[in-house]
Amino acid sequence: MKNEILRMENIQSCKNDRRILNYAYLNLFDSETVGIVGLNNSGKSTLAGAIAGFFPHEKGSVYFCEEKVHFKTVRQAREAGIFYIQETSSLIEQFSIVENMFLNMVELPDMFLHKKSQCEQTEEILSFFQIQEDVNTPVAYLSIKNRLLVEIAKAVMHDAKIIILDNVLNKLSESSLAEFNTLFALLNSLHRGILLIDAGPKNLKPFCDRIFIMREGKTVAVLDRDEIEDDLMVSLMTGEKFIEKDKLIPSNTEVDSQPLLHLKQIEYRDILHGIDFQISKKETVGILNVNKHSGSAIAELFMGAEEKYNGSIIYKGKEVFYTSPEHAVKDRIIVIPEKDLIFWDFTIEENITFTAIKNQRKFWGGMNEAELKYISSELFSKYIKQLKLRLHLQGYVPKNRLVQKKIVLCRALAADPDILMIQNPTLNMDLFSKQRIYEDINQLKKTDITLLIISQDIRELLQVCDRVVVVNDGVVEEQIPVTEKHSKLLIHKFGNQIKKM
Amino acid sequence: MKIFTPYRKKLMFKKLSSTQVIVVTVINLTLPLVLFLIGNYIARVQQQNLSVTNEVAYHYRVSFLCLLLGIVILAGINILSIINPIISLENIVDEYGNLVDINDMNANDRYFTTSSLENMFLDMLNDQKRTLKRQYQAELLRQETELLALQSQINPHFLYNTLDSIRGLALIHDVTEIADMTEALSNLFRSMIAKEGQMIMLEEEMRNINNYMIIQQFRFRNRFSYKKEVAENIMKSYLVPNLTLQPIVENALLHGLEQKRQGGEIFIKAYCTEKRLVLSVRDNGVGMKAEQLERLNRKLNEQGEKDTTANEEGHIGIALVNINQRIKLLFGDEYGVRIMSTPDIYTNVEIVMPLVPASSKDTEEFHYEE
Repeated sequence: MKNEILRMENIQSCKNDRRILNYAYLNLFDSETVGIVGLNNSGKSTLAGAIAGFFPHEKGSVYFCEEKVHFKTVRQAREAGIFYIQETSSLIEQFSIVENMFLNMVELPDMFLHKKSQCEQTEEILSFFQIQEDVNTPVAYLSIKNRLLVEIAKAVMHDAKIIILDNVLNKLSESSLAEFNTLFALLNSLHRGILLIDAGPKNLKPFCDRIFIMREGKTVAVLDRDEIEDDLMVSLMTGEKFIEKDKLIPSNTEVDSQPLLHLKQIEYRDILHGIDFQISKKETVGILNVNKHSGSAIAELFMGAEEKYNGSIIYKGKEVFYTSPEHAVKDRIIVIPEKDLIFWDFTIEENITFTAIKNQRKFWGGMNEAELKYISSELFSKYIKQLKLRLHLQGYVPKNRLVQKKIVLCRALAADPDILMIQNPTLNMDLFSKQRIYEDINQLKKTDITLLIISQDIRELLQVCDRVVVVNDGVVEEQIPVTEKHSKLLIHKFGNQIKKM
Repeated sequence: MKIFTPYRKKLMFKKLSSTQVIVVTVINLTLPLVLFLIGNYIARVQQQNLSVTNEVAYHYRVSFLCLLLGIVILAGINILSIINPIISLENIVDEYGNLVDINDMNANDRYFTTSSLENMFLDMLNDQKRTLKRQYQAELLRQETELLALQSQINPHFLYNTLDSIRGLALIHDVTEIADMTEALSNLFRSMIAKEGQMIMLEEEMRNINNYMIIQQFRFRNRFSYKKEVAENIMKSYLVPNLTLQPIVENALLHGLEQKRQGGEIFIKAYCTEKRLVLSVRDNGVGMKAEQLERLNRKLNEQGEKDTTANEEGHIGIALVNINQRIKLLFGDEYGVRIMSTPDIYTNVEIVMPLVPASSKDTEEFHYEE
């Protein structure tokens, strides 16, 4: 008989109308180390949040030690024995180890505990974890490894049954990681369950008894230790079968002599490290964003770069530098960010025509209202009316993510763009909504607009793009045309990047 | 979305049009006041015309009498409009068992039943009667169909005996493959037919799967491998509903692995916790597309709604939905079937149910049959 300390079934959670978790599943036995792996935005941390209390689930069941629970606060979860350790340390740097150890954890009757006793307890736990630091040392002076060890020690001292480590292992060096193997075995021997979360399989493989693989908010597979293989994990994470390299056809991308846009050796904010690619007119290019920051940084260059960058952006043969989104709009380059910006007090028509107002201004200051009305009704009937949702232009924006995304798209189109950059167009959308957005993008491809889709969803890019630029750690890894024979190569490239993560 | 049910519509209509309701409300509000004012008026006139020594007392006496009269009138109206319909409802409830169809009652009676409450109640009872009648007819039909099906079937004992004879003949002619296959088929039928809808030992369910796999391995010429990781003590200690795992294994084989030329694998695993028994069937077959999986998950999580309509998911969806429904009906909504799938890579169906320990009688019965 196994002692199942955690069981989460059919977990569903939404954030701002986005479905983050969709029938997610997780279970953890006593004295077991389990990993959750998935690409960015696959719902790993949200699932951990449902048990750690910082993101309570909406539907589904959570059983902790076989009893149904619903933790709504971090405190509730901590009291039950669930400790969540995240990328950004929860320790206060100016406080000493002993102060951090008892921070937020002391119940009222214990408030009068002698400092001496606290120090003794801390010393005991530190020696148990072989942390050779004085208990009065401020946390700021500790190494990354020791900070993490102190957090784990704190969890053990306060009788945690489950310790969740979210994206922390990738900060550790190879030698530190080797030591953690012993540490996890020690914690397991103390009947502690460990939940490790990471975006790549590399850090999880050495430690985990089982690995849960998440994709688009769902748990898609559970692999036992003897089943853990890189290729299988990559296939499950991406949803596409990973093919061996020797079966693939190499790609040849032709270089356009007069590109519409050329990002030339851009180095920016320690994220882009000499990224270089070009886009031709009327082309639909996908930026496969292996590391999520690279895509955001590219979009930032056209929305007003925060810092000065090295390299140059050549647009229509001229070097450009954009200080604000309006500046880029003037050049007919529009970025649709991941988060839909909706003006809730405005009608749908006003939301759509927002960007077009400047273009439709008469020289004495008045508006060309007839033209604005024509633009909004045209876009509305072309992109929104087809949804058959009883919406009208003078109505207010509904709480429907698909409609909101379409309104944002119409707003961008109202400004008559030459280049439209869309960042993660269908992030956390349901399948029906995704399909409608893909239809819109495919419709846009028939126009003169050049599209740049920045996404982490490989299948999305395969559906809508002519060419995909694989970007990782701020450099272009490969540029692959989207054809039937090359799609497998693209999956292979992406899979290889994931394996290294 | 249906905002108003027919009943509600009717009720609203009645409320708006019934002059009775308005009259009762108006009378209830105005009559005591009017009577009080009349009484006051009489008292004042009397006071003017007569020389009464105790004027104030007389004034109050008349007012009080008028108020009393008003209360009596109101009580009468209330008895007519509120208490009578309730008594009438009580009579209807008493007679409910004897009435076949309330619509059969005299049309005049119905006409004079003016209260909307009574009409609504009558309609509700009528609908209930009709539903019960429909259910009864459906059950009757099902029984008739079953009877017909049974009549048209070969006597199971005749089937077992025939299969045993074929096995004997195969052994005589030294064709062990046919003998094994026939034995597996006979055992499988025996358990499937004789114990339909019963709780059986997990060991027996696993034996059924073994028999099923023997037959299918012959059919598919060992194109796939079959592994299981079920502890002996779990198999011997707990009961499961008959045909819980076998249809899922059949799904995995026929819908998942049939199209796979080689390398197919079915893996059955079981473990138990303090309260639950968890069984899982995993395969590396064609799996399910995201849309298909989404629909199936939604169906599996719809509580109490049975949907057995055939669709593109076909048999695979129906089998899973049925097993899920059976488990939920037997043990409650916290148990059931859960599914994970990635096309062409991985499919895992997990069944969660409570621990039902096998009694010594169950164990004895099983070993006796063996």
